[in-house]
Amino acid sequence: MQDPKISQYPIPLGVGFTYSAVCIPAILAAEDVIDYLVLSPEQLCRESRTGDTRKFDLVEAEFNQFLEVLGDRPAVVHGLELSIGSAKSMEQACVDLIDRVHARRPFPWFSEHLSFLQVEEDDGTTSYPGAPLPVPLTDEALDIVSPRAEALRTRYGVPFLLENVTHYLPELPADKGRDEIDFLNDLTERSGCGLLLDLYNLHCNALNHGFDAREALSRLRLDRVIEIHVAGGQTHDGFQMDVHADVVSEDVWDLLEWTIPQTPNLAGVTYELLAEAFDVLGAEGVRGQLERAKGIWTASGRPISRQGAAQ
Amino acid sequence: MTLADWQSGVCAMVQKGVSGQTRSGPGGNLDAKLLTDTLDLTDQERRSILALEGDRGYALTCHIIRWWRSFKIRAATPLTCAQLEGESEDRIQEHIGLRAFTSFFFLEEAIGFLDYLLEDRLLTPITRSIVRFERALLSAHVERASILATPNRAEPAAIDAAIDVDTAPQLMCRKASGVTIVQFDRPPEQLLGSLLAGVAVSEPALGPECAIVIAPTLPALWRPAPLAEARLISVLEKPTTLETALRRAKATFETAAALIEEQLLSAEISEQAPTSKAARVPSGHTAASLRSGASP
Repeated sequence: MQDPKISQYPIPLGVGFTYSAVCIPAILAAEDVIDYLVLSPEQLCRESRTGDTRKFDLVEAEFNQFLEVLGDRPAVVHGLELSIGSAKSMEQACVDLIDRVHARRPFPWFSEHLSFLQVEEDDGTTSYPGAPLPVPLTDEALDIVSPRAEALRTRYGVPFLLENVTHYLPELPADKGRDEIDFLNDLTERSGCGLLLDLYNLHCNALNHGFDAREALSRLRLDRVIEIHVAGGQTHDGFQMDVHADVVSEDVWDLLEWTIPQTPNLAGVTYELLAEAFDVLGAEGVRGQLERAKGIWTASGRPISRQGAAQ
Repeated sequence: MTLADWQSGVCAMVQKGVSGQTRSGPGGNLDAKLLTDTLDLTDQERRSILALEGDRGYALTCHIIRWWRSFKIRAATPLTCAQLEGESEDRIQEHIGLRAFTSFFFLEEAIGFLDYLLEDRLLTPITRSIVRFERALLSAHVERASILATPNRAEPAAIDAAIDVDTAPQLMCRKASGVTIVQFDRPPEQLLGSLLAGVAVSEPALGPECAIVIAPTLPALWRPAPLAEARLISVLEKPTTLETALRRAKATFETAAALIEEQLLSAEISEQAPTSKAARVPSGHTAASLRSGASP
């Protein structure tokens, strides 16, 4: 069922891959498999600052290279530095950057992480923990994040998605007995934002914090899921780490096969790989992962489209 | 609790874990912040945050941040790391311990590390030059992106006025923004070839001094600079009349004109500058004719 609050559900695209210049050989080698590319525009930028005010300047040559590799396929944007979960304000430089990208190449949907990366202190300075940290599952957090998500949802007339993140910190503060799934459900209900379901992140959290991933998924508003991410990673000191640096595990492929039939509005499945890990798989290894994702997508009976226009 | 104060407390704990020490700074002393009423937290919330210190997940979070910062620095400062050899990781960890995380961008993290190294008075001269060169190069990358991203940026005004020493106002010049001169005791190609192969360079070399100019407007961001150019750019750190600068640098107007055209120097006609009766400029020449070598 399509909720009218989530404006313009995108038409299904198929299988996508995260863009980086290092991975261009893999993208070209899998030209016939990749239906869309995922761009994190911060990776094609240089940062400049005036005091505490940041600006992200797109490097034209790098952006033009991305457009050349993209060809006529759709691009979806997956931001990194928005810090939508920061109490006082999110990062305006990110919004400005996405505005510029949208002006150059409109996208069928865009997404960010449900996390915070910066803290505005009482004296006006900004502190950075150094990694995306999870948002507590409180009413106040919901009150702060929901209107921001709603504003972003209406900014370009396409869905805005929030992604569940991996974290290693012990129990987060929570109101009303919420867990991560309850919070995501409440957030999408209040703001109308869609969900970017990162199955690998969910798998990591399930292992690291001791819950059942399928049970959690059975409670999630899967009708709000528009994109799914799959990835592989590594373990360290007994933790499953969110490093997107390996082949997808069988556990995560199983989760994908189980989840897809229950996501009526799903528009894409993305295989994520960090640029720094490209040498681990090589072009052939990446193609293998994409082909497997495509096989699962096709078996679900979903169409493939390279047009990327909203319905 | 308020979300802001919870985030402030958790952020401070993570910063402490990454640095390995209690941090004092704009946010105040960590332990004081969390142990007093500075933050709007209940006693239990405060204890929970402080208890992170013994948590394995917290330790992993801090480890990941340290690893990622080190990775970024190494990726963005290959010349400096090659020069530091086995000492490089220790110096990177010292920097991470002393300077809080400020950016996910590689260049900003790297520039911070290079600034930290330049504070070390014990750096050898050749290492200092290499660090200065790499820092200038990274800054030029950042500035070039900013320049190109600025809409309707003004092109530098063409200096085409006839320069007549007796009647015309004199040019006021200065080094353009983002321009740096670095001097080495050997040819830059030799030095960079060694460093890019991962081999540190020893000192001192016996060859003549060589200079490099780094600027965001240069196609490759840097090039070798003849010593007269290097002297002229160095003399023009602050606005100075061209006449004075040429005398101090023992350089020619042709040199100055070429640097102005390359946007390494900026110049403007100053109506207030005193004229000089000394014949420093070939009468009737313009900057364009000086550049082209045409007759006046």
